[in-house]
Amino acid sequence: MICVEARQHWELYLDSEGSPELHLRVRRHLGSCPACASWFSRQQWLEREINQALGAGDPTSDIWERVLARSGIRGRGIRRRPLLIGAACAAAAIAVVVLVIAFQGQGEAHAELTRDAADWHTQWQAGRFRPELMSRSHQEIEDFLKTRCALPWRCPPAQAGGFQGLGAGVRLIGGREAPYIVGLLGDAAVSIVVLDKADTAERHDGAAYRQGDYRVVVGVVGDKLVVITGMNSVASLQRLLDQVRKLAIAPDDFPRI
Amino acid sequence: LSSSGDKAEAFLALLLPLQRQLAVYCRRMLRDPSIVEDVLQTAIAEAFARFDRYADGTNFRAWIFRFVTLEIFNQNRRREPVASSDVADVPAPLEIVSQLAAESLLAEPGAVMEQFEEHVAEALLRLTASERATLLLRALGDLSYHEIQQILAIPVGSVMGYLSRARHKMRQLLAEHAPPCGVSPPANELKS
Repeated sequence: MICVEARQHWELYLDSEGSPELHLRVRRHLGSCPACASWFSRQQWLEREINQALGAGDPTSDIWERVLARSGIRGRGIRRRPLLIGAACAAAAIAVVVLVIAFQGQGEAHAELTRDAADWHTQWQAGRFRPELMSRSHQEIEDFLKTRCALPWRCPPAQAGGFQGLGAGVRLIGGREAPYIVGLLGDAAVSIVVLDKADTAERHDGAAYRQGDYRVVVGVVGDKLVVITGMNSVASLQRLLDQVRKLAIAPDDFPRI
Repeated sequence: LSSSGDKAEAFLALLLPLQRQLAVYCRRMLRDPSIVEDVLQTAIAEAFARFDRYADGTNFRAWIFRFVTLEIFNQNRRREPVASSDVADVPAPLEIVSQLAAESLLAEPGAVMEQFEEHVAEALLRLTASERATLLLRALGDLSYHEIQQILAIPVGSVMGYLSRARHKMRQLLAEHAPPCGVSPPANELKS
């Protein structure tokens, strides 16, 4: 492949469209042509800037509250609320008992952690912030984690657990940076936040919690604590956690920095 | 779904992660941004009414974007019947667009970063409806070419054409802001 041909296909390459063979040929060319590699990199950067500018604007949560209320969709849920109060109270009571037993007096930090995870996840879903990187490309997410956060982890692949990445970023928790990936598991939004492992974390490896409408799964991966939040079943979140465990250990072809 | 409450909950669970993208898409696409709420309400109510036909586990993102897109086109058509009917518009010949200007932007993109959002918004308004729709569905909706094809009901080749033209025009229009900032054209660096 020559430069002109490679550049003709830059959009297909950027959008992860076209045949695998085409991607392979473009990738090979980029590996051998610094000028095109630089050109592609600038195109990609500019495209990301344009996309971010297109997506900029005020939060839309107020609009949606009114839209859903006026179209009667929120109202249907609200009408059911009295019927659910008893069940919700019972569920909350059971959850409290389970949490007390599980944490054995040391669960307060984890309760706060899962509550924070659920609150933060809600804010993302309501559009109150945008991840630093918005991309469905798992390669870009991996590159972001590697370069921005020095975290040489692979993004869970779509074909393995049905995970589709949507973006990545960095949260500040207690003054420390916590990388995260957001995406869809099936059609439900999930977030994966990576924290430094707390001393007590081993005790709760693989534990699952419910926070409001969400399930939160916590797992220890190397020297990190991974918190996965979503509306999916606990089983599917734990499968995703298993994928993260496997992919967090970088294979030989994924250079550590 | 066993009850209307279950249906609403299932619908909201799928809609929640897409709310921001849908609202911004709507705002960017409409000729009259003051009707964003009305358009969303009509589109979402219509989608919810037909939610029984949605097959669980299939592509909700493309499904819901289609409802919103159709309502946007309806509203735009009502406001400017002649100008907004360009879903099948005749593509502008790219040859007349200055390649040099777009390439110069790429050589020094930082030159237009000041007020970048304003320039992008302004450039977007100068695209045709089809170019704008394909660009926004890709950029905001994170939709694949095939999904955009389904939403706009046009061949995938047209999706690629509109998207390519939209990107090229955006760069060219953004480059118009570059010369006063001192952008120079890049050196010829192609291998043959």
